[in-house]
Amino acid sequence: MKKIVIYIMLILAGLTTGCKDKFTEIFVANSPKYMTYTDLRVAVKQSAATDLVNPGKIYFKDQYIFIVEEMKGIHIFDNTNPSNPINLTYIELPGNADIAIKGNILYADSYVDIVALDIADLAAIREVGRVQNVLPYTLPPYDDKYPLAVIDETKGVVTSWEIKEVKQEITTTYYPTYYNGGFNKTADVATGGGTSGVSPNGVGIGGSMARFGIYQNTLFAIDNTNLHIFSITVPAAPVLKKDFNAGWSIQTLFTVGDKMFLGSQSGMRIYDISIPNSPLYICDFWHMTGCDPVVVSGNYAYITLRGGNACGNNVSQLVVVSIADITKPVELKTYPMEEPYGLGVDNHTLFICDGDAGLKVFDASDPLAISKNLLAQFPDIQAYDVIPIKGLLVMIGDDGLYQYDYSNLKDIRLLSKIGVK
Amino acid sequence: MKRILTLIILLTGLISISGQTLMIAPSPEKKGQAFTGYFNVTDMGLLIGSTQNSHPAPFSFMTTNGYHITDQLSLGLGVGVEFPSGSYMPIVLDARYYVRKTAFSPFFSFYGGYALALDGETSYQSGYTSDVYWPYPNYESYKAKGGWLLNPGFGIRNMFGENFGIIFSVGYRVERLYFAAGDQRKLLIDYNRLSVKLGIIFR
Repeated sequence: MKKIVIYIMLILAGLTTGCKDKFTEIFVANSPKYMTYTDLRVAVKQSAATDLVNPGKIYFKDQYIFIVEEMKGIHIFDNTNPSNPINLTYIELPGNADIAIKGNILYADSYVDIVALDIADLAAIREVGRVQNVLPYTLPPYDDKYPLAVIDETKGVVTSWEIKEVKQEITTTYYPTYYNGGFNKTADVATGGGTSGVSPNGVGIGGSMARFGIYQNTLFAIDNTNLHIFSITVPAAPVLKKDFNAGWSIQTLFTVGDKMFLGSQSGMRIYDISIPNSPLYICDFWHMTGCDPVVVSGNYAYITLRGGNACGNNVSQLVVVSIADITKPVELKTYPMEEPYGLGVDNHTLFICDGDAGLKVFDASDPLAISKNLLAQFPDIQAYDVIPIKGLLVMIGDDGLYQYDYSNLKDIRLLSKIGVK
Repeated sequence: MKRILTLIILLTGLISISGQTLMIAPSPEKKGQAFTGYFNVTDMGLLIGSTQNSHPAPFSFMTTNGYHITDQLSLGLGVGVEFPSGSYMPIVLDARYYVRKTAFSPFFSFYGGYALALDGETSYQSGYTSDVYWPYPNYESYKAKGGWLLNPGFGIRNMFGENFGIIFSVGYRVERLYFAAGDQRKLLIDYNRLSVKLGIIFR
């Protein structure tokens, strides 16, 4: 009898050792709908031109504009005549947020994969390469009135949500997202960088919140913390060369010559990419926490910080930083702003989308007196991203893409609008 | 806390009412008496679980009044106070089977019932899946709604006389407690604990 009691005690003790309390929550949530990884990898498809619904980042190559339909695909417009852009075709590409183009190959993210598309013939676009499982798991937009249910990554990628009651154990998971610029429509412009159209290797111009950049035969892609480096020596067959931790809360990537600037929520990190596969850390420039689109022109970096939101502070301002000595960026001056979103610079002309204050155009020849050199202000022009390209000002907002002629800065004229459905 | 103390005093009062006369008499075994009639078992102990739990070994107190259907089988109704995570008053149906008809006897027991919540709102950590990085825990305020419990076990009874003895028991507690934050959010906490209790028995 004693033995029996001892055995029972031992069994109970064993059971108790694993007796961790189990917490289960029941709530109405965005419940994920999945696409299997197998389906994801055969999902690229060209289809007829369609209207913009939820436009994301933009990219220019030759006479074409590529507009990302957030997490869905890519619209391609013939912009030979900016006054009348022609909607040519649409590429269905699930989970797409960023693109970059070199030559005839378009590189795009598709959830966790990098995809290479041959766009030599815009009537017959086809997938020619894919690097699987190189990017972090990400989520599509959801109804923010409800929390997110737990995600089972083994089932595939999340393509949509269903609002319903869910029952799940308590878990805490963070997923980075990249649509809407990833940070509430903060915009960033990578003009003048390695993604510039002036690049002799035929690289296009990156649009807002660029997370992709091309330098020589290397494609860079940044997620919130890691820089992914791909060799595109064989353009149709990108090969992952290296991943490395480049900081935290990184929002943007842009290159200027052989320098790469990573914009994070609290600063800017600069790398030397003269050996593209081994970026060499140069320095950090720290600023107040905030959503911080950055543009670089010559010896100056222009950073706007937007406060009053989830970006981390209540200060909205323009920060001018001298990068004459790239190893020691120096803050020259700050200027108060209303609610700055995107900005762009063309030589010494600085364009800032300043929320309700509208588009502001400054002569930035004297970085210490920018506010005194307001060339023009257009309260009616409200957008969250602006890209100036040789007299053509391309702006993107909630209701579509606008193109303006700014050859006369006192008289910026609307050329066309590609509206959303 | 006042409410808990009041409950303990009330429960202690129940013991004295049901305990009848505390006479230390010769053991039934020696006199050959049967174990029949009303009884009261009052015990207290711990509900032991993993040390990773926020309450790894909460206190449990219970008094059970019942009736011996046979010498070896009894049924009863128990009430007590426990603190698995907040304060609860369990009300249970209790069945015991004594292996021997002697003063010293192992027994198997099974009780189960409902735990009434005595607390108001309680804050619990909640989980989240998010696209906004937040390194700190989230907390949600819940109203305790009570829950059900089951407790199979076994133990040893030793009567010191006809009417009084001690009782030691070990059991496996399964308990589910319900919480609600408004109409939209509910929380269930499932406990699996080893109950270890020492008590006294009156007849």
